[in-house]
Amino acid sequence: MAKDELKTDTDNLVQDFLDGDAQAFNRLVLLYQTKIYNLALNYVKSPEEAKDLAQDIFVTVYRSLPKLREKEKFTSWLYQIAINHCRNRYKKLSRRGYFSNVSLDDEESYLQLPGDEGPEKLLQRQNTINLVRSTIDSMADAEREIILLRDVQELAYEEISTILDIPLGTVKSKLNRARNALKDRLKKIYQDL
Amino acid sequence: MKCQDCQELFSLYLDGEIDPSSRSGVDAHLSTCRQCGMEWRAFKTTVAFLRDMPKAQVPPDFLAGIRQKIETQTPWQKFKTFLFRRGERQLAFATAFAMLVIGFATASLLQMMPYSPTGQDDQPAATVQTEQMARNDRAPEHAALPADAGDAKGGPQDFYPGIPRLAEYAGNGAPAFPQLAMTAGARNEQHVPVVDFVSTGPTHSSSSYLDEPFTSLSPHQQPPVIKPDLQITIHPAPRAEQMAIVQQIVQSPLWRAELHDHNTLLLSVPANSFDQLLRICCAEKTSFSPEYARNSRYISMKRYLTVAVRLD
Repeated sequence: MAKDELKTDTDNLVQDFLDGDAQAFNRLVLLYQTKIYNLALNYVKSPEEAKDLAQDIFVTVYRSLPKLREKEKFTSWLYQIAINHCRNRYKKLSRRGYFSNVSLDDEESYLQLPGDEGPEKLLQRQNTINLVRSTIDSMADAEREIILLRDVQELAYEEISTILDIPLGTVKSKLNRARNALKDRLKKIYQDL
Repeated sequence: MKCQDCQELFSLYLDGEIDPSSRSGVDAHLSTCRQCGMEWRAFKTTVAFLRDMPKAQVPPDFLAGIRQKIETQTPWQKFKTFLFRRGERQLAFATAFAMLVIGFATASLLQMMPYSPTGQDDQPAATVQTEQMARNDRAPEHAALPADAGDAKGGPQDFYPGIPRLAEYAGNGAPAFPQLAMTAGARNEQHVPVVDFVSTGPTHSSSSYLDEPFTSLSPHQQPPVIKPDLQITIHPAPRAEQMAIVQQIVQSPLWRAELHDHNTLLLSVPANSFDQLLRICCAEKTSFSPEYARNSRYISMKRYLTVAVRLD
């Protein structure tokens, strides 16, 4: 779905929901559920935990949406709520030592790679994904969030700046640093390819 | 353009956020620098790989779970709903306010409640019974439950030897209740107190119950030893003269007077009325013990003075 089309649909659904159409919220959820669920998954690493976290995010959105003043900024607002929820849940789980019990196998089990490639290619791709994920996880919090919002969630620079409440220049510089760090880690794999 | 400057612009160059002049600079540098060209290709591949990473599928019951969570309120939300529901909120605040008022009132009352030193109001019946038993040297092995006393009333067995039975209390004018007022007929005459005022000297003047006028005694207490603060003796004189002094003393509303024996009056005189008593009694035919009391009101620090007036 094109970005403009997504924005138009979002604005219409938000307005319908505020006008009392209960089904509009369901359609909003369907529009954003994959993005929010995957964002949550990047923080908590477990499908069950990510499902619960993403549901909590949408419940908060449902209860707070009537109080949103700038309806056209729904997407940024939704991601702000999502990021806050994810940070809080991540801290809570870290305190409980949750992540020390999550193994690499569990972490990757939720990703189903397309099966039209040969087993060798598939394994190689899976290894690359693992490497990318572990590199992202080892980044500083700010850089990790920026690269996730830009390259996984495909948000604009201005939106990221609004969501994380940091200057646009910081977004640009941190994104470049994060991408270069990732590139340096993957360079060896490219040479093998 | 240097290699480092060029690589710092990779992100903006890739996303099309770079300004035209910088773009042409990067283009020119990449066409000439082989190393930067390799870095650029690696950079482009990395970002493309990142964007193509597979997305996890949302669980099928995801939306239903949201609906369920929306309908199930958390305890905090329930509390908020309760607070903002008009009727219940008012009731809660009113109840809380009423409980506060009752609490304060109870605390204030407890502080104001006088302490009863005689224990007449507070002493449980069991304690009184125990005291009576002790006085009558009742054998402890004969003790039985008080409930058995009623059964034993008409029976041959006396569970409380030495203690009068309930039937013995009837008919001697004593009220049946409260229980503390009941006294055995035979003992009643022996223990009727005349006055319970016991002077313990100035050191106990702060004790409130010593500062009170005469109070009646429990029948179980020993007859008090009367130690008046002052004794006034009216010497032999014409009967009419003696009686005039006595009459003035008895009729005065300023103090309480009781007959102690056939020729002695006991007075409980408030300290501030002591001068009036002196005016009545300072005739030449009276003597004071101690003598200095004739000219001084400060014979005791107590609020009520015990004065014995004796007809010689």
